[in-house]
Amino acid sequence: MKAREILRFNLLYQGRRITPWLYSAVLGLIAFGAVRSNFLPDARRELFLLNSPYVIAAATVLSCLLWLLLGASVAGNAAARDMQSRMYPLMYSAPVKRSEHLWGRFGAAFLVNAMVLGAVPLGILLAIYAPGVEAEYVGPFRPLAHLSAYGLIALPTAFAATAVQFTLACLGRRAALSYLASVVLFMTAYVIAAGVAVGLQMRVLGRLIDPVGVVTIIGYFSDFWTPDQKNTLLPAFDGIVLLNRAVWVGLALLALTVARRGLEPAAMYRSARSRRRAAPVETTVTEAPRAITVPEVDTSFGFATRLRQTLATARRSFRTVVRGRGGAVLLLPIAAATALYMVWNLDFMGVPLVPRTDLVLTFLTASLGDPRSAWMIIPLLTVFFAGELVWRDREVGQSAISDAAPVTEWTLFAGKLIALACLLALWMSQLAIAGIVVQTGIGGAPVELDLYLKVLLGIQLTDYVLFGLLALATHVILGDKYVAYLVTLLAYGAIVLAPAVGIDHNLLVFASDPGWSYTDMRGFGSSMSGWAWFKLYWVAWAALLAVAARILWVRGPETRLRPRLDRAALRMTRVTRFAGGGALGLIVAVGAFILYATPFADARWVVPDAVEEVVEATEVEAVAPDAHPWLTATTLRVEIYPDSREATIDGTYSMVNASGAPIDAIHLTMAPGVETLGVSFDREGELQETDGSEPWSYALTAPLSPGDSITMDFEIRYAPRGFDDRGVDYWVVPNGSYFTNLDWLPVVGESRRPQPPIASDEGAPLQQWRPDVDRVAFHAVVGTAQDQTAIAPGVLRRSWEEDGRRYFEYVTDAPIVNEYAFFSADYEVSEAAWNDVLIQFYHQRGHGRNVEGMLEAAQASLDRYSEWFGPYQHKVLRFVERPGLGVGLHADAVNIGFEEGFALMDPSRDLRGLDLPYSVVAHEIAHQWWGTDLRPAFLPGAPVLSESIAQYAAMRVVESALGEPALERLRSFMRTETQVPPLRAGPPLFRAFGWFDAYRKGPFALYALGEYIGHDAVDRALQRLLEEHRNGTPPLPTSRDLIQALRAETPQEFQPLLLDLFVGNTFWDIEATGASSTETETGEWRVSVDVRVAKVVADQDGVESEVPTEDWVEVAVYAAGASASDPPQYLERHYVGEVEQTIDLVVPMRPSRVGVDPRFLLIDWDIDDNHVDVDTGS
Amino acid sequence: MDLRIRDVTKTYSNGVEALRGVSLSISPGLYGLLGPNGAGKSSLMRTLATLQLPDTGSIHLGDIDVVAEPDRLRRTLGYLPQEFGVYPKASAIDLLDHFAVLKGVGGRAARKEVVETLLRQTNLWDVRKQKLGGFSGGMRQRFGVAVALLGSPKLMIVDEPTAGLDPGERVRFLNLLSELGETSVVFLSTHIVEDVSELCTRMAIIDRGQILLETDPTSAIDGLSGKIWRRVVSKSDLPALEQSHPVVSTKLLGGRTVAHVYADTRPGPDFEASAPDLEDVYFCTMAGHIGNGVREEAGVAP
Repeated sequence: MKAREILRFNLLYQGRRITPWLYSAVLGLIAFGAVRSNFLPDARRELFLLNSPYVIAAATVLSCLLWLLLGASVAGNAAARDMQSRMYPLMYSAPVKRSEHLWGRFGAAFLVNAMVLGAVPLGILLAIYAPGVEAEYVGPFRPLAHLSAYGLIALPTAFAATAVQFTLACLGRRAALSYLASVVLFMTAYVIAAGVAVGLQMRVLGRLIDPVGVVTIIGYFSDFWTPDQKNTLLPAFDGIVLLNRAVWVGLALLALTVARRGLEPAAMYRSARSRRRAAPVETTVTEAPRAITVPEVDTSFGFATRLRQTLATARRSFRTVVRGRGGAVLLLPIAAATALYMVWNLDFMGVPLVPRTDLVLTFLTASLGDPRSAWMIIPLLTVFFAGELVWRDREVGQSAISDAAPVTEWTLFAGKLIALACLLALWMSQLAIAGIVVQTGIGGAPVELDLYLKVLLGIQLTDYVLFGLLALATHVILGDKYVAYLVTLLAYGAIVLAPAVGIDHNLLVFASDPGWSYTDMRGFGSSMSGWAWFKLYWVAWAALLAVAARILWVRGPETRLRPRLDRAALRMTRVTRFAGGGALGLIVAVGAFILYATPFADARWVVPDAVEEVVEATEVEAVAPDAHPWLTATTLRVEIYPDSREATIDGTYSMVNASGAPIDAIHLTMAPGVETLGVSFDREGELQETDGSEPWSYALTAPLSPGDSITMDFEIRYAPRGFDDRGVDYWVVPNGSYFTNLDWLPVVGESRRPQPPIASDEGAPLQQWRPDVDRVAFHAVVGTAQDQTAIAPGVLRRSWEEDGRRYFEYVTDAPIVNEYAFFSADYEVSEAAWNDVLIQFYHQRGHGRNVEGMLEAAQASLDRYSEWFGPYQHKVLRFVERPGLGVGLHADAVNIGFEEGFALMDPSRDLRGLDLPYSVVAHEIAHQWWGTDLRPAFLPGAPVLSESIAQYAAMRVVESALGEPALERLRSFMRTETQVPPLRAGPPLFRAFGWFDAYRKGPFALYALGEYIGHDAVDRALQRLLEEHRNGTPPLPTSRDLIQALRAETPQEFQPLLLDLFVGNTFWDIEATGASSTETETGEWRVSVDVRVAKVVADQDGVESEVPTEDWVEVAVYAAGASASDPPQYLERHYVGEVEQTIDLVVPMRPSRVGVDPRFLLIDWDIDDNHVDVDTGS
Repeated sequence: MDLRIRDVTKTYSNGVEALRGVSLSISPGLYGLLGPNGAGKSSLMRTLATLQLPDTGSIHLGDIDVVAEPDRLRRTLGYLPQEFGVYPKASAIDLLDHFAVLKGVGGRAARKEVVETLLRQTNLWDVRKQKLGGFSGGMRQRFGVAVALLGSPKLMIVDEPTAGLDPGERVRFLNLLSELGETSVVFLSTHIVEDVSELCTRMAIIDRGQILLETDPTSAIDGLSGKIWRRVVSKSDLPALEQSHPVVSTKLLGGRTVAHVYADTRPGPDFEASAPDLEDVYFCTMAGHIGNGVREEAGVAP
């Protein structure tokens, strides 16, 4: 009864506050926005229906995640209101049981939260059914989908979160602690659960500890459900989801039993005021009263006093947050966890990386609004501590005295800001220590203290302090702690989400900048000037906020805005007016300068470097390419000025009309990042220049007949004006310049303008859309700073010094595809030779860790490939380092560029014994044949012709040069991704464009085919393909050509296998279900193996259909007593014509174990059931 | 240095008129502000202490315009509010030193000396290193006194200061205030009449935001001489007495009720003359017999 009355009273009390209704409105908007902005585009791409249960569940999860942070005050208020308002002596002396208090209060908080979350389904319904959504993307209305999302996702989340928030606030006697509980839950859902599920590969545990469903529902079902399943099944009814809900409700009940203790009266008087001194202190003075005399002191209020006051305020405030609020230790577990995380994750696909400071710092830093970073926790904690700092004096009542002290509002604000900055600096130092501990623990790289200082206490701290100031000012200006929490969180949300909604100019997003990066090779490159200007701009804004905070500072009992505004006028002193005016002036001046210095409407070329970009469109668009001449030769003079970050290129294109028709006009597209100084042709005509991204055209007076040639001279200059708002370009930097012809040089042919390509598997002409398929004879002179080496494709013919600069002349000895890069840096070089080919490794000093092994790999690769595929076309092969902490490599003809991260690999520490750099080198060198020599049409299936063949080639180099066990290690490494089986839904290999198909499934398929039909047969097919297409004349080869070539070499019996591997998206399910053996009279053993070989074909949507089993499958028998590494005593292919079949065979020795497809050649991700022990019946 | 308050009004947003045209002129010395709870005492105190702005009116201390230059006033202000808290986890000496910095006491040595002196004066020296969270009400009050005394204030605002003090402490504190009053303006609000009668050279009585009487205690008492009459009645006769006579106060004495009645002449044979005290001044003022709140219908000239 009493519990019900407490519940009723609290419910009404909370309902009369404005905040729950505010939360409700905000959440409804969030749910609406999540569906409309996040899921509607995907629904329009027909990945699922907009009202599919998956979308409803996922939108609910996202909303609940944000509710955690936004709505924390409800539970905190219910738990700690009596303590903070000092009403507990009245309340808790009433004859009410603790459990009645608990359930009444908690129940009210939970009901209010449930009501707040009720806005979520409303927002979702509105997003689906309000105007703006085409009817075809909405399926039939399914009430159960909405009900289950609210009932099984939102409500249990609310219950668990309310309980945890309530408990923490109750035990700490402070409402604000509920927000801290929320931050912990948020991080658990958003970071920790994913870390456990993906980072540590404990998927079920990860799904169980996620309190909201980020991993449990969104992560799991978006990765593992097919479109069809997303549209029909209810994620909320999945077994693990239900278990997760049960776990969290259980935890909630557990937390509440702890909270109940916090409600004991004894506990009230213990920790609320002082934990250490429970009993009030009494003075023991008994002397007679004597008169008090007041000491006369001098007081002064000059600058020194103001400074002293500011520092005293800062010190006192800092102590409050560090001691009283756990500020000092709060981040320690996170720093420690990060250190552990780094130890586990300083690797690339399991290959340990050297913990160089620049790499370690990438783990410790993130931009303020990066939603993918765990360091969101720092702004989230800042929100909490800013509130504590501003409200501390008032909450303990000390403001009654201190408000009347002769201290200016500037002093108070600055003191609190300094305290917050010190706290943030303390956290940054803790992160630095975590990084240093990891570095020294692993070893192999020096600790660069100055870099830690610059990055963590310079760059990162600036962002965090700016945000801290925003939070402090918000609290001051709004004058209500919980409204201020909400507004600060919304402001942070705006920072995070602004780019997603198209507000991406850094002048519009608080504290943002165009980005920065640091690598050992490049340093900060050119990123710091833009960073500094934008920070100055935002510091000016911060100063303006500080002025607002100063004049609206709450002093005295009045917290409402109106009376404070009255007083604000009085506070507009000369200094304040000067500061405000100065800040405004700075905002305008710096903003104007930034607008001047950053180029507007800089339409950057979209050069698709990831094949995935093709995914967007699969429809044929029958746009005939315009007739344009093809490049045959390119001659360049390139001047790179690393120090002034400029470059010029004088060039000549020689072109021929290879089309069958006369050409009237030549269209040119000029790269937007560079300036074109001049263009001229050796045939008469009229040049029409345009600005912007429209192509230039040159109308020929006399048309260019088929077979005729024309040359074009051009001059371009790269001289960036200031900096770019949308990111930093690092093309020319003091050390480590890198740019490609596709970035800068004019492109001939209107239809070949770089743009997102439209892919098609029908018809060949679309391939001519890309500018890089021409074959050119290349000749370049490249000049750079005296202490640097400049690198371009071809053989270095000579090198000289002139006017304090160094020049390099490069000439190719065979035509190359029209895609190449220029490098310039202070390089060291390591060399080796293979026959008459010079192999060079250009790298930054100190980055040559793996050079020897890689030179060996290069020699072995050249050796095998020239035998398997044909001669290498050039006299030199280079690996050239370029700045970047990624491990990406890109193979152009002759030169293979690699990022610094690749040089950080340390295979000697790889416990798997895998030498990944070796196989990567082999892979990239294979691209000299597959990808450059043979340039596939840019169509679906293209990656199979380049990446899959390159990886297949690398597997065989590893096998042939390092031996069978090395190949086994590589194959097992390549199977890492299939430990959690990837979705089967997808295209067949011949139309594939995804990473997994290109780098894993494709090479496995080629290898399997090689094992069945002989690798030399595969080589013959590849050689033929290469011979036909090496010259690069259209039509360019497609995956169909590969399959035709392979078909010609495949015996009749394996033709179905070829089709299964490449033309159908086929999956085998192979299992050894049992085996028995008996000894024959002759002393041999008759073995009977029960096999199960099922086969399905999956389509794009994941609909699977069974296909009949008609396969040759290897069967192996292992002798008793043989060790695991011994070859089997029997390995033969057997024909399996039915799903379940028994195979009888005879072996000479007693068998112990049999395997079906024992070498895992066929596409079957479950390899654990391929072997079984033999039942010998004895 | 005088404190001059002119026509100060303050109306809160809920419509309560806390101050209605308050004007006072206060010279150095101890000035007492008497009034019932809710009369506007604390509103006036907070306004004087720069913590809230008056809607109209002006306040000056010497040449300091309190409304326009709050920071100048704060430099010479000692303020002891009626209710305040302290950081529970700070020690007394630490926090007092902190306030000394805030109050502009420069120099580490000077600060140390003044902090030590004040802690000794307020009898907190022995507990200086203990956390304030463990202090009793009286100790906390003395700590507040120490803070208020920092920096040789020329204006002391003390709002109901003696509430939490034991009798000895009260005496010591009041002595201190009167000593301060020799050089500074000490403005004391209280609802305890004795505080004022024992100490103050000047006083005012405030009710419902208006100053009803501004006077000095002695002449106020003299003014009532011969006008206060007492009579002992039983509890049941009291309503009849109140009907027939202007009863200003009643008091229990040994189980019977002693009523004081205001009248120019002896109201009746049962009444005996009573020597007036400040309490009679207070109640007569509140009842509207004397001061600015004299009721028309009473028809009595002050």
